[in-house]
Amino acid sequence: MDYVLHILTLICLFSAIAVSLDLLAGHAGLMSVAHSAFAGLGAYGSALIAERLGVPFVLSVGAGMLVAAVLSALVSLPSLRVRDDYFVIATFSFQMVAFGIFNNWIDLTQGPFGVTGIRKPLILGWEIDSPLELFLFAFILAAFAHVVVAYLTHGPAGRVLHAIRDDEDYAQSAGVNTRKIKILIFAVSCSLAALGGAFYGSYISYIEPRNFSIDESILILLMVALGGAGSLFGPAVGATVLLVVPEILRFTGMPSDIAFNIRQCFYGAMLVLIILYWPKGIMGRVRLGR
Amino acid sequence: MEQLVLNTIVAASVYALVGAGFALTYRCSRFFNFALGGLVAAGAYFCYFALQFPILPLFVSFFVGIALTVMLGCVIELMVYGEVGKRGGTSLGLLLVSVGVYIFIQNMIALGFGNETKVLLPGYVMPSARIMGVTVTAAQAATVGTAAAALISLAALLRLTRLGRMIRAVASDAELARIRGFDVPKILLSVTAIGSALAGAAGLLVALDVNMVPAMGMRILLMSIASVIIGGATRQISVPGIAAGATLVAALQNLGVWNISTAWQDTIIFGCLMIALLLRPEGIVKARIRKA
Repeated sequence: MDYVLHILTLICLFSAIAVSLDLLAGHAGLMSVAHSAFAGLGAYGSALIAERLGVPFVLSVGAGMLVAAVLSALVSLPSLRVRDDYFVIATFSFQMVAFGIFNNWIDLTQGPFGVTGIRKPLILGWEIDSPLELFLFAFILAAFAHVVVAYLTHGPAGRVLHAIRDDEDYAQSAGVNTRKIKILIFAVSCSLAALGGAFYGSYISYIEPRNFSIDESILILLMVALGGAGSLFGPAVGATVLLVVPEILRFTGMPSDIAFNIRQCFYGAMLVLIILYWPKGIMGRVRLGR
Repeated sequence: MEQLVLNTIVAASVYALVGAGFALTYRCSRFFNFALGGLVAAGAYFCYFALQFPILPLFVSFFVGIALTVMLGCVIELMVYGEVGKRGGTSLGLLLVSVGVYIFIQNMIALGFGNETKVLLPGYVMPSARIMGVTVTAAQAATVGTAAAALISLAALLRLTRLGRMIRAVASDAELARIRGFDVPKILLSVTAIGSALAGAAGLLVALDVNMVPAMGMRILLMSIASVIIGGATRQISVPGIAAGATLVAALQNLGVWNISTAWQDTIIFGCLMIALLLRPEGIVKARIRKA
């Protein structure tokens, strides 16, 4: 039972991070491969601020989100100068720099050893520590992320985002301040990813740079692509499939490094096949890469 | 100090080799081909594989390894990229697909050969010579020599031959080239073959000089992409631009070593690439528009 709850908790957390990426990739047309770096900024920011300064959980998570929102400018500013594939390279570079900092700034992040002993969430004196409570908390968090994304992608705000995605020059000529909106949407999306990351760190109680590498960023993007970009619940569906399927490999009793390689092969092949034959994914509205 | 210069030249040679392949495929098919990173590793491992047959002389094994890499590159071009293009995929879609292809190749290599670090010629003592006070190994000399030869012949090919003229035509406007009756898919295939050969050769040379792991290609490719963007060769295939960019990236990397720990090398380069994309996306060498 605890095992099932663990998987469900992970699904909730990854859904929150994936839906926040969909806000960028699916709705605003800003493909980013740096999303796990932002989740990492939230996780490291929150864990280190809580540990060094002893501030309560809620404040430290807020601080982690703030760090991610501010640093998202490093990715959103290039998006004003370069588009499409050049922009992907910019996010790629950010991902590599962030990973380098997690991995090499030993004094701050303890490098490859990771940050250990992160406390469980503590809200108003209520410590969330049983598997069921943690799952419920993760569920609320995922629901919150979905509500934020739904709010921003429906109605007038959504129309503006979609206009930027479909024809940025036209949106601009129609009087949309695309610069301001891109910067804002990045800040929102990245702080949501940071929220997911911060809770992930607190849930697992241990984070290491590997959790926030480019592989994870591509996995999150794959969740969006598989579930379907531009749909509200697509990323959650993608996250569920991509987290449950590898668990099956675990039961075959394969050595873990081989299982890892097989899983990665599977992800790689899937990315190719989805873009080739199934660009809308399971329930997408937008054709990814078309 | 002399050692740093040597390291810079050797690293720049590798980046220029892969960068030339990358710039060619980028200009002709207009997408960031991450699968080249997989081909770098494939070049090293195919050679390793060919060396398992001791009947073959050393050079023949190397040749077989690179030939296999070229075949792999062409198969990917025909089976994957050609399909995406036919289905109306954008450069972004092709980029994502190539990332998928890269992940697939890297992990297939890992499944076939294992994740551990391998040496191409175990127990072989690389001959070396002292030139101007630095020890240069044969592998390093081969790397610099191959890169120089490959870049010069590439420049000559592009400038002097019919194929080179056709490649430049596709690079400057594929649609126009098609309308003029060029067999664009065939030209793309030859570009892929050249690019794969360059990537495979780079992988082999790195494996010869240092060692190999299945993930080796990504870092080399990323450094090469940085070189090409910084060198301005994404706007126009320019061999001097690629060489300049590669030298700058390699120098930055090795300057970093001077007083900062090597672990920060990649972070420095990508930080620079981010700044470059922000401030001067057209590259340092201003592309001149020439008629193909």
